[in-house]
Amino acid sequence: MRIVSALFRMVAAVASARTMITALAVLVLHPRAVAAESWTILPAAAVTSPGIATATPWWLWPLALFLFTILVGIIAVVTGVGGAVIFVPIIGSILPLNLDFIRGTGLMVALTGALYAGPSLLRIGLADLRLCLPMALLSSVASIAGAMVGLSLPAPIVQVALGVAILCIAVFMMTGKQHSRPHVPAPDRIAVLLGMAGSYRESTTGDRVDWTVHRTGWGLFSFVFIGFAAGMFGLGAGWANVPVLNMVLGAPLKVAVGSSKFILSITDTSAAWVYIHSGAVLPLITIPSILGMIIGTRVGVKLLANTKSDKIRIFVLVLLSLAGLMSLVKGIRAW
Amino acid sequence: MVTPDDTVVQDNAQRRYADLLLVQSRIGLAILLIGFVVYIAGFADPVVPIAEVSEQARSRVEQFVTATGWPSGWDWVKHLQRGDVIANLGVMFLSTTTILCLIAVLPVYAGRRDACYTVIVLLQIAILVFAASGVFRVGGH
Repeated sequence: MRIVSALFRMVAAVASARTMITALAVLVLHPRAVAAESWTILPAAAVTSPGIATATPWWLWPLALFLFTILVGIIAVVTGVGGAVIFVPIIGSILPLNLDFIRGTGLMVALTGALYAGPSLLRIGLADLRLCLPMALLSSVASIAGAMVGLSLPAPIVQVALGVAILCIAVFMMTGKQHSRPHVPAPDRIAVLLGMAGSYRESTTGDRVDWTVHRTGWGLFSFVFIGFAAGMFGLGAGWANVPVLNMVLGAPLKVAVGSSKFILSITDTSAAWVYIHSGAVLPLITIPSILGMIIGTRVGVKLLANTKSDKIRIFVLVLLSLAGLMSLVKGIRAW
Repeated sequence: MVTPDDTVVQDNAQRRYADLLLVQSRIGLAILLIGFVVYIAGFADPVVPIAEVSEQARSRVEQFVTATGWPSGWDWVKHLQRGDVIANLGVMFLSTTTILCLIAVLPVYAGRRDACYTVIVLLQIAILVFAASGVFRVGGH
């Protein structure tokens, strides 16, 4: 494991600003390398003919995906949004790959990030099993349904729906106001029955914070819709989990963020299997993206202290809005 | 409520889940890396030639599976010697970690006679096992 960890540190060090720019250049400027013919692999007969090579080497786009997801991982940590919500609409609009494979990869990227964050979040109490398990149960059932609907609907409809969903998320992120410690007058009956309460140590003051939740029924109801969207669009759904846990249930913001991440590890597992069994998880696309996300997350954590997250948040909102519009336009054109 | 002195000790089930998840996620990452190296280094022939993936992956997943023979459902078991299937083993391992963690905490809740969470964990395991079994999928053979 030390070797793996050392490898990550080494690659993370190499992943400088220059490589980030290269990744974006390959993806965006490579004259829609992307778009159509330049990615085309010649027919077998042509390939075997001397002097004729493929238009683009096969390794270029996994490398571009790897570098791009490092950037996504950094942005995800610094701004607190999930990686898949940036990854799926942007890659889906830029690359000529079918959205089925991009959504499968988006889910795996979100799932891996959640699995790696899970142990430390659980140990320090920022993710709570008693709070997460009931929400995850409903969310995972809905995510299976969402994944099946997403893989069955015609691609342009999914692309248009994704565009609309991403634009709604951008508006939601702009307008939603979260509270570090919402006032919960008393736990409701479901919360008492399920023992939804916990404690964590506030790192800035060293104080122990005890919390409980209310409006649990509404929270459970909301997670059905969140799970469906996560499965259908291959999004991690952290963008919706956090506001529901914080603003509806009244969990402290840190617990909401930590528990949201942990819920993804359960919700996305169920949807991921639908994509895996359908054949929509291709290692050449998925694994570079997962590795890039892990490295980006680690780099992001180190940059977090010295980054002005407000400015980056605005950048992400603009990015999401553009990605939503691109997805919408691409879907409408193909309709 | 904020109190200054009490120690914060997490629930036994939560600690057990965290410990197991940590071990599994590290193993999963190692399998993922090894499998990917085997795949891209060409140590084992893939089901779908590596240079054709980008071209074929422009079509929907059902068409991709039909055109390339890429396994859907449990067909991957028949292709365990293929590079791309070996590469995907790490992805599949990571997708089973939650199920194993839930199985590990089930005795904790059952031992406490915590009926609600025993049932919730049992249902969650059942759903994830159903999903992993391939019952829910679109297209394929």
